[in-house]
Amino acid sequence: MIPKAQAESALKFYRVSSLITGIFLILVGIEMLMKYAFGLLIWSGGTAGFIGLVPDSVDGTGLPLSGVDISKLLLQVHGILYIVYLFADFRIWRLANMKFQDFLVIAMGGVVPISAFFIEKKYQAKFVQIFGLEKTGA
Amino acid sequence: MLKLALTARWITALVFCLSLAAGFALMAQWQVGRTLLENSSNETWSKVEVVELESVAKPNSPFTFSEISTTADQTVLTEVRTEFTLEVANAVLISNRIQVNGDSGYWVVVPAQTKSAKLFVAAGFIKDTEQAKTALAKIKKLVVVQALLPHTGRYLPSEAPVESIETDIYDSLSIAQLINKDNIQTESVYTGFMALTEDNTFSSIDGVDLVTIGMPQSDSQVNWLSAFYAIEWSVLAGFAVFMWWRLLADAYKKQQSALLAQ
Repeated sequence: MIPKAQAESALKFYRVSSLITGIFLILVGIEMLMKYAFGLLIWSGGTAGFIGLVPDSVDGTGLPLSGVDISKLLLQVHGILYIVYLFADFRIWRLANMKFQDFLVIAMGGVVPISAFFIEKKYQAKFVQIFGLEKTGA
Repeated sequence: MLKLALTARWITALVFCLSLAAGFALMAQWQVGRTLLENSSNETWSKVEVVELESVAKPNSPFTFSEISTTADQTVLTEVRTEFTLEVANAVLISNRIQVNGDSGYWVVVPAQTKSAKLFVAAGFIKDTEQAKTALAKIKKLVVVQALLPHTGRYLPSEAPVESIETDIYDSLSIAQLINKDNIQTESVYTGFMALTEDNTFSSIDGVDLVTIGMPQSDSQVNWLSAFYAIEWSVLAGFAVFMWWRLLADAYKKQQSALLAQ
């Protein structure tokens, strides 16, 4: 049997990571829609104001001279979060002694927008059962 | 543990993990390639060619001119030539300008009238703020020949506008912003500006140097997003191998405790 504290911490790590990665994936989805459907970048500072949209540019000309390219930042932050998410996925999957497909399904949650929330809901129930934990709220 | 690792099942898993890691490493290498690709442009050009401005740019049309062209063995910088009259009374200063030698200071930018349209001309560089203001006052009062005179220089794209606080001093060279200044009346304007590369009327004024500009720069010499992805793919490659090792260690532990139980 897996120690209860270890199982709980792995589950909590997975759930928090899933929530954060899921939210950022939606933001990345919005960013990509703006960029590829409308040719706009999300920008903060410079002529864009606190947060605004500026036309994308192939060679960088015409972009605000100061401020932060939020579009690029979102991609990078999601990149880091996804690595953490994969690690959380691996940790709990190993403890739960599940099939390899389960690892892949959970990993997919960080790539397909919105799916993270459904996957998290489904697997949380499974993990609770496997580890013999009491159901927690929230 | 080695014994367990050498069973068919674990060797298959290792091969799988290693090929996964190899795939990720290839992705990393691809991104590294993209990172360096943008950085591989030459430092300078090997030949200068002069063309008529009218043949490469039209007033009121988007800026499409590309200064640098590369052939198999040389990099050609295309400069433009055109005839205009300077309208010194409307001269302004642009701050945050950096010369090729690293000096930072101001550009004197003067509107000019060509045969067909207005063209903004960066005519000189001044390092010192006070000197720049004095020179600007002098330039505004200069008496210049009211005739179309030929000039040669680099033709460069406008920048994004930045709010200016002081009269006649701007933080960026935005044609849209400059053309809206009082006193400038025109229906057509070139959407790029010209930086004079030869001595001109202002070169004799105290503290005024020629504007120097290096190779045109793309957005970033280093594509940081690609560099970042390269690191990420490497981490994933390492992760694939780590996963195999961790699972093997788990299985080994289980095997050992099973043996102990017997």
